[in-house]
Amino acid sequence: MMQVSSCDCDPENDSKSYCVSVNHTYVIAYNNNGIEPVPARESEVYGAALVLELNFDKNIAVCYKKKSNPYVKEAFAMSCRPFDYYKIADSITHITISADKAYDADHPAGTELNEYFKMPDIEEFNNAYDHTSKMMYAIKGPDESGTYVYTMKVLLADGTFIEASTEPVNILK
Amino acid sequence: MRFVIVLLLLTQVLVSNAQPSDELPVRFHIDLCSGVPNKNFKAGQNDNYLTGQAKQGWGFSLKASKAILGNLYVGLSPRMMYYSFDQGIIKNHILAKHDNGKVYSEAYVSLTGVFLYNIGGQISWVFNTNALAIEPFIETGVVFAELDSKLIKTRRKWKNSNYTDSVNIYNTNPGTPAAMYGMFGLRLNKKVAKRLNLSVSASYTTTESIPFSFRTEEVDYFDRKHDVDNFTERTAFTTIQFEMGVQFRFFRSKGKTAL
Repeated sequence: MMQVSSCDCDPENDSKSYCVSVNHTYVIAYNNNGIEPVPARESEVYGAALVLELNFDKNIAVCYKKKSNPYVKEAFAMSCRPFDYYKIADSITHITISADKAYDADHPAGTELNEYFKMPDIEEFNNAYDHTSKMMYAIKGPDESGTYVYTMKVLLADGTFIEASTEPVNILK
Repeated sequence: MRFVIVLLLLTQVLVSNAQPSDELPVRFHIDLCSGVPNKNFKAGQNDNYLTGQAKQGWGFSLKASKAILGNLYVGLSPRMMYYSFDQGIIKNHILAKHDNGKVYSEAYVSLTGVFLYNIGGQISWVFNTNALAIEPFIETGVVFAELDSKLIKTRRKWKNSNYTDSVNIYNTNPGTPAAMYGMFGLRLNKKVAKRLNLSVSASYTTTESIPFSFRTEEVDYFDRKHDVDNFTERTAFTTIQFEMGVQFRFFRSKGKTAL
């Protein structure tokens, strides 16, 4: 299990802030040729009907430091109350989608394809109240039909990143 | 219009100023109403796919009437009716109109009916029999019509694509449209107490056609808005209406002053 922690605890600041620990992430490709998206599996997906779902297994915690108490120097991490609404102060900053093959003349294998997807606002990922999965809808498919593997790279505020890839997807031009 | 105003004023004066007597009583009516739409107001019978698809109506009316000459009564009658629309027909019309063959469509029709507010003057004649009083009547006045929603929203999804958009239809009438209406019918009154009647009635009502204006707007996948068209539906609210209720009769008994 990959574990990356990104916490904004400031030991010099007497205030609370929020942390996210992303334990695991995975990506599922969906086929949206019909009325509703269904897992792509072996089906042939039109490039403009591809949906990538990014799933997180994340833990949220409150980091808290009591500056006024001279006997307590450490930062404490506590579980958040259920359904608390707050923003995570320091967490996911960017998400990149790429493919293992060239998409078109301007996008060789491995380059960022975000402009070809409807991307959610990054703040939606840093909201503890929100769902732990997000759909990214393709606007345009590749120039050529074929089998593609999509990779999503999640950059965290501390500079680390995690990434996950889809199973191979049969894309139709 | 002038005729209606004169009729209403006359009714008001007569009802409020006349001294009730045994021969010339004042009546107050409270009725529950149900209505069956007809002609270009009836669901499935016309091309007005938004305002002419009524299934049934419910409401209530109040009435004050005064005998002015023997059995001739004049009265003033406010009434409120709500006619529900056939959502399936509205939905199918919208989908047929906006389906280009490349989309899966789903219409979320928030328009569910129309409120009709009437205020009119009524003239009737009472024929007394041993068992019942039979009272044919005519009524005319003004009707105000108000749709219960100003927005009909339709969402479309393209086949083999993530592309979605929506079609929004707005009712753009600045206020509540008004028209004249006319009604004729028959009421049966059954005396159940000295000052109380039960009554039932059936009537035929029609209005002038009322123009309802609409604007259609498409909102594309990237939330950009495009005006598509403007159109007007003219609907006359023709109905057969049934009322059931009570009448309170006020009159001065012989030798007494109490009502």
